[in-house]
This record gives sequence, structure tokens and C-alpha cells, in this order.
Amino acid sequence: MDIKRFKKNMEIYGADFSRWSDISSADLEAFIASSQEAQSLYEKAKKLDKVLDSYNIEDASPELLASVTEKTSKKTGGNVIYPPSFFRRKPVWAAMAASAAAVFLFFAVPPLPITPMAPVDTEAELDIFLSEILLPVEEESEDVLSFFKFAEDNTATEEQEVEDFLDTLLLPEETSEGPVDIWDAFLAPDTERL
Amino acid sequence: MKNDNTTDESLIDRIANGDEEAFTILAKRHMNLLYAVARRMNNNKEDAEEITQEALLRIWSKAATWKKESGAAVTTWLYRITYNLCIDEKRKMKNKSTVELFDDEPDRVSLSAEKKIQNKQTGEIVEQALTALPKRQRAALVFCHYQGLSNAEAATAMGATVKAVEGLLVRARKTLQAELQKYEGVL
Repeated sequence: MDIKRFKKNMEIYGADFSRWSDISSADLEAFIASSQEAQSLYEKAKKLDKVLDSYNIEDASPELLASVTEKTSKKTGGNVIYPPSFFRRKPVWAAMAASAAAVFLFFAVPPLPITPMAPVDTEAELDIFLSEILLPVEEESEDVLSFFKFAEDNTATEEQEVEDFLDTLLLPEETSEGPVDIWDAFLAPDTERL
Repeated sequence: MKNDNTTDESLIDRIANGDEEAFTILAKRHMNLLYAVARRMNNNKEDAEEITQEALLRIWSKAATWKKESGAAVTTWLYRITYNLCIDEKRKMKNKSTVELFDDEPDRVSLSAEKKIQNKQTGEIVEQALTALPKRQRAALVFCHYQGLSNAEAATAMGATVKAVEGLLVRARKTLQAELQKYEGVL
């Protein structure tokens, strides 16, 4: 353990040592005792944790459960016969519909003359910009903070502006099911949106 | 109610087949956890209850889509549904109007802070500071600090990488530290 790593972990996990999975509490206590800087960082984080813990919230109202269970009964009318799970999956239907449409278009629409697509300046610029943004994420060695830093450098200093800036670049138009969060997909390409 | 110690996984299987009793057990078991996330993400009791209700209804209608083989716990999946709803809710709110989260100008904060300290609990100031955080930073903090999820679990719930969650936590804690320091006697 060195002070740099200690500081980074303290910034991520705070002063609750149970969250520091890679080092024992005893080792951490010994390190804090050996360094004045570590002690000061620990005290600062402990204070913040304590203040955060003062924000307690009430439980959900007991009527909520009754309301939800009532709605589920109404929504399904009680005993529902479900189709096999294969057909319940939207992507299956979407794929079947897309295949049918592709077959139809193949036979129904005459081929268009092939002309090279002229590059659109704004799109080209956006591509360059996105590749610059994606680079630090693609490189495993880079800290994700550099990704924020890039957005920060291109916006004002307001935190929400930084996120909004990334949203503007990375969010597509809203669909009928609500906006698909490319920002999330961008950070974790394999995750499925519910 | 019988079978109250049934695992979440088998409850989800039963819910996928339209078992209302299984749904009631699962909803009762996790309702307050989901509500806590929605409440801290939205800072409004009514909105939080609405989101919790919608999340539970989605569990009812989407139980068949839960992938057991993914290895993620059912609770993480429930958190993910709630998180997505919170994010969408915030987007809707943003489209409606721009909310002024801190009603004081920076140079006037310390003056009004004294008044706030007198009249409000520290928890209320924290609530206000949390509300001012960007949604993803707030979510990372809510999942990791308040709900006690590991960074990996929070990452799964948020559909983000662990590194992204770490970055969001660092940013969130720094921002909160700076905001709360404006209030005398809080930090």
C-alpha cells in the first residue's frame, strides 16, 4: 500500500474498510497510523460518510403493496395462459418481422443505382470526435476519469453539463419505449436494457 | 403466507408462469429496497412510490425474460429495472422544466446556510446536495453507499463497467464534499 493507492481507494470507497476488498482492515489501520497524510484523508472521508449516513428515508407506504398486487390481478385477469417463452421474446418477433420485410423488399423493390455516398461534414466531424472520446474507454489501461475529463474540457464546469454533453453526443432519438441509453451501452456493450 | 423462505430465483420462475402468490412474496420482500433507491434518486415520495410500483409491475410482466444463466442475482436485476425507470423519470422531468436545485447563489450560501442549519436537519442538506448530483453519480452513490452493493453489482445494475462506477463514485464524493463544505457545521 502506498499513499497514491490509498488516496484513490479512499476517494472511491470512503472510510468504510469493509468495502476495500483488496486489503485487510488491520493493514489499513497500520498504514493510517504510519502516515499523517493518510490519517488526514481517512478523517475527511469518515466525516463525509457520517454526514451521508444522516440522510435516512422512510419506508414505502403499506398501501403500495396492496395497490401493486391489485394491479397485477387486473393486468392479467388472474389465470393467464402464457405462450411458450420463445414467442414471448420481443427480439424473436422483431427478427421474424425484419426477415419477412427483407424478403418482401428483395422481390418488390427494383434495385437502386449504386452511387457513392458523399461524406457529410457534420457526421465526419462527429465520428472523429466520437473516436477521440471512445479511445480512453477502449484502452483498458486508461482510467475512466479521463473520459469525464475530456467531456469536462469541452463544457462548462457544472457536473450535470458534463453528463448532458455526453448524452447529447451519445443518445439517439427517443423510441416509443423510451430513450435507449447508448451512454450505458457505450460503457458496457453487452448489457441488455429492460 | 406460505413459502416465505423461497429463493428469489424460484419465485421469479413461478412469477413467469403467472403465480400471483409468488409475486406478492417477492414484492413484499424487496419493495422497500426498490423504494429506497427510487426515493434517493428522485427526492420525492410520490414519484418514488410510482417508480417502485412500475418496477414491480415490470417484474410481473417481464419475469420470463430474466436470465438465470447470466449469474447476476435477482436483486441486481430488480435494481436495474428501478434504475432505468429513475433515469427515464429524470429525463422526463428535465424535458418539462429546469429545476433549480440549490436556490442560493454561491456567494450567499454561507449566510443562508446558517439559517438552514437552524431550521433543518443535516439529513435534509445531504438530501439537497444529493439531488444536485448528476443522475449517474447519484445512482453510483445510492447503490454503493446506501444500498451496500459492491462496485461490480452496482455496475451490473447500472449497465456500466466497474471502472465507470469507480469514476462516478470519485466524482460524486468530490462534488458532495465541496457542496457540503459550503454549509457551516456540516463537514
